[in-house]
Amino acid sequence: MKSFPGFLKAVLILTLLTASSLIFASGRQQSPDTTSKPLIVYSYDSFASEWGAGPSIIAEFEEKYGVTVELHAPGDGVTVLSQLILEKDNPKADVVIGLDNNLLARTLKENILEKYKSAEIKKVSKDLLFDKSYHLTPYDYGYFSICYDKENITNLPQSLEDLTNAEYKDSLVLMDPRTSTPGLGFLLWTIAVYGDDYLEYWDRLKPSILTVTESWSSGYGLFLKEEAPLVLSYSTSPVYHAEYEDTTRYGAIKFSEGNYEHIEGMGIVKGTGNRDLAEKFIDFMLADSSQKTLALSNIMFPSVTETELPESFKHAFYADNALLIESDTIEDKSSDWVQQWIENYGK
Amino acid sequence: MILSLRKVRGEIYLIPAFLFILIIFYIPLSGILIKGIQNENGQFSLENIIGIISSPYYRKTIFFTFSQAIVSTVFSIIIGIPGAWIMSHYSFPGKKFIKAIITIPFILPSILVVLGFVLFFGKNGLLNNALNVLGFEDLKLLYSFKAIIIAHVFYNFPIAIRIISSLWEKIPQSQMMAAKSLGAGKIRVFRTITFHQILPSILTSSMIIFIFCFMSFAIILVLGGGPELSTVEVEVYRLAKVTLDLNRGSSLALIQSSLTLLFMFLYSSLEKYKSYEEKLLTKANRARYSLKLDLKSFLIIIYFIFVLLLIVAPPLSVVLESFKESRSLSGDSHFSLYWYREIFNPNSRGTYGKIAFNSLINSLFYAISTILFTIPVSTLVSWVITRKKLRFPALTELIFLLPFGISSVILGLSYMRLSLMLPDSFKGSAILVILAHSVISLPLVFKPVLSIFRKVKISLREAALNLGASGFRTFIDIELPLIKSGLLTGAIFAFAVSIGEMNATLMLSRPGTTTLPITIYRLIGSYKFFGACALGTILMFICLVAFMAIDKFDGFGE
Repeated sequence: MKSFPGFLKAVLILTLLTASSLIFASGRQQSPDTTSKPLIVYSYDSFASEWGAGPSIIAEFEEKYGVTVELHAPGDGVTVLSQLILEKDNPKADVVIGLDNNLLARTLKENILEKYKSAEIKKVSKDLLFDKSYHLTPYDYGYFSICYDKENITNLPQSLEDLTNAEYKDSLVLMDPRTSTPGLGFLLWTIAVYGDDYLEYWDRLKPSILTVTESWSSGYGLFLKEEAPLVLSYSTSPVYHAEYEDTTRYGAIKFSEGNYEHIEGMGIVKGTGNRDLAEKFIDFMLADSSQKTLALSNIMFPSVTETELPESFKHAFYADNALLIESDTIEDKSSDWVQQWIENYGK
Repeated sequence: MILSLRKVRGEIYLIPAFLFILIIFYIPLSGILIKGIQNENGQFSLENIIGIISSPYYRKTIFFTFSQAIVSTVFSIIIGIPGAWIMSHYSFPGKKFIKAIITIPFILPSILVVLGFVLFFGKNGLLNNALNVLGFEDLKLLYSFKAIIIAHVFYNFPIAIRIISSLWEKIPQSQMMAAKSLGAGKIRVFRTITFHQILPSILTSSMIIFIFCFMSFAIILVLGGGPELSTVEVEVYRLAKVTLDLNRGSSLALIQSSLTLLFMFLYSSLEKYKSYEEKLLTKANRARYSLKLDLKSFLIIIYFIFVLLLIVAPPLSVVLESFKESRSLSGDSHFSLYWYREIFNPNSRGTYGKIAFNSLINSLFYAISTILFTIPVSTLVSWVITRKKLRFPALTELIFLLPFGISSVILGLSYMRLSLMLPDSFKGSAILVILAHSVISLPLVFKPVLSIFRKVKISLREAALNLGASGFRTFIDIELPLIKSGLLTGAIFAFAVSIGEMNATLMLSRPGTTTLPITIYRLIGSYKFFGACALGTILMFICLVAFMAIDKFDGFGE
């Protein structure tokens, strides 16, 4: 053995160490916790924030059923959908929360959800059942709206067209339609209003835009840090500040062209190994207590329209003219629209 | 038939290392690059490449990638040159401290730079609050071209100081003195003599800073974000992870990799200037000035105050904010240890605490695993290169250094594609993340290990062998103690790179495999700054300890 270089022995030992660490790694991965498999829920980031609805609903659910729930937020709504599509063959999540009416077509096409018609769904207002195939169950809804900060703006825009005025230069924070549901919603809003001329509208709007953020959370955060006086958000957003901060400093504007409707849905991920618990979770989201929490923490109108709303909801509005683009049209055209938008924005 | 292994060509020993790098780097990468010149049916086609080049959006993105990198480089050099001059010409009390301070950016993962910048330069950040107190208007810096440039300058001007000063202090003053005695003014001396003398170091540092800025990811993703401030790296990530257009993403990756490899080639051709630096041998015996109470010293002090502010304030903001808690989105904050309790106390853990703690454990585990992968490979290759006959030693070296020229986002993309072909249980698994971290850190681990092997004399080993010690004993008793410092330095680099890595990890991670940087990024995304800062402080602390260790083993400050 003398001719066998000692050095190689050392390498061999290190290789063995590496191999054992690998085994350890895969062991960590697969350690099946058979006693209670946690329910894995994907949602958008603001739902999972400690001011969001996620943590309190989940805590109640965990207590009621004696299980653990892991809540993961890979980003805003569209990012959540992309993550699910990427994991299609090997799904990690059991339940997804936050795929809205605008993402319905793509969700169904990708075939990533299991059908589930909750017994609780009869309480949900019929107009809100945007998925007749029962893959997505609506849990709340609202209207996209431009929100403002009274301390930083006096003359409010009253329409999409007003936003293009020179006085609003660098005043508006929007979100990216490639990554976020409000971003996609706003793009569809401009299409619902301007039709084929929407890109010309965006050209006029561009000087008013301070920045386009990845997610609603980061955009709204910028707005609260006073980086801009106007932000794309929801008609219900002022409720939060009235309820928790006792201030009417922030408001939402009803636009003369109408506001785009946004219905948020949840569903059971195809291939879940936890179907029973997933169903229970969907039901639980429609229970009275959760619906109240959604109103107060997700700050949207509950989909069970009977739910009693707190006083602070007088600062929210229902759109007189709710705009909506047909799901089929969205399926046909939305990727082209987003592509054209980005090409145009990059001009 | 007895074949003494010692007479076998060196290449034989390299087989395991070659296989390793082939599997974890060259095969996945070529998968992506080939995909870049294919259409959806897998036939050769340039349609995606042409599609990108003819798209105004991607053209603008590529242009922006260049322009921000150039502007960042120019400012980093301009700010670095005075620092290099001071560090190479003066000795003064606290110089060691300043030297330590300017290594801070080296050790900060980019996501922490971003976090620190948002906190320090934001509209409600420390800087603007200070300006308000002094009666000035707010500076609007964030989420703009300016923000990206400042963050890049922060990250890179210490590189300029380091590279330029190390050459400058070796330049003999004779020429300069001669020019002066012939009556040339100070500016003229600098322009005609000094500038030319330090030019090689300016070029080298410019090139490396340019490459870093060109491949920058986290800073652009958070501080730029919008479609008007987007770079090739960010678009590759979006195409792959959000739009799910892997074909187009691969084509863009091909364009990006061709560019970065070209830059690396330019950089290595600048290395020939190194020989010029080596010719200057050791430090010229130049007089070091000490500071006196004059205008010059005053300017030097102003410069360092500026440098300290730029370097120390952002990370310090992170630490300060981590001890705060707020009851609501825009409400006031108060002092609290809430975040640390959440992370470290298993009994009071909520969603934040669980995810934060898991990512801390994951990060540590990946970092240690990365050491276990990279150190044996680097040691084996270094040993063969320095001790055995090889036909192409330089090429062998290059093969293991090349991953440095490929951006980690693109590496993540190739792993993503690779994992589509692997069995389900591999998808999103820890092993892929660890291997990705290993590739990214390998060049940085390999360099110090190779250089220590070069320094250790072969004769010592031969002597021990001649005296009858076995090969293994020789290695353990003679070589190992001598190369230990190089191995430890390499190991710490592996650890530090892995623990701060965000780009490839972001492409690969799934809920079970999130790391500290990913969690921090997500927390910033949902505007949970205080929670992000607590994790950021922990990450910073880990990196600090790691690099203090390198300093101990390697004299990193030199």
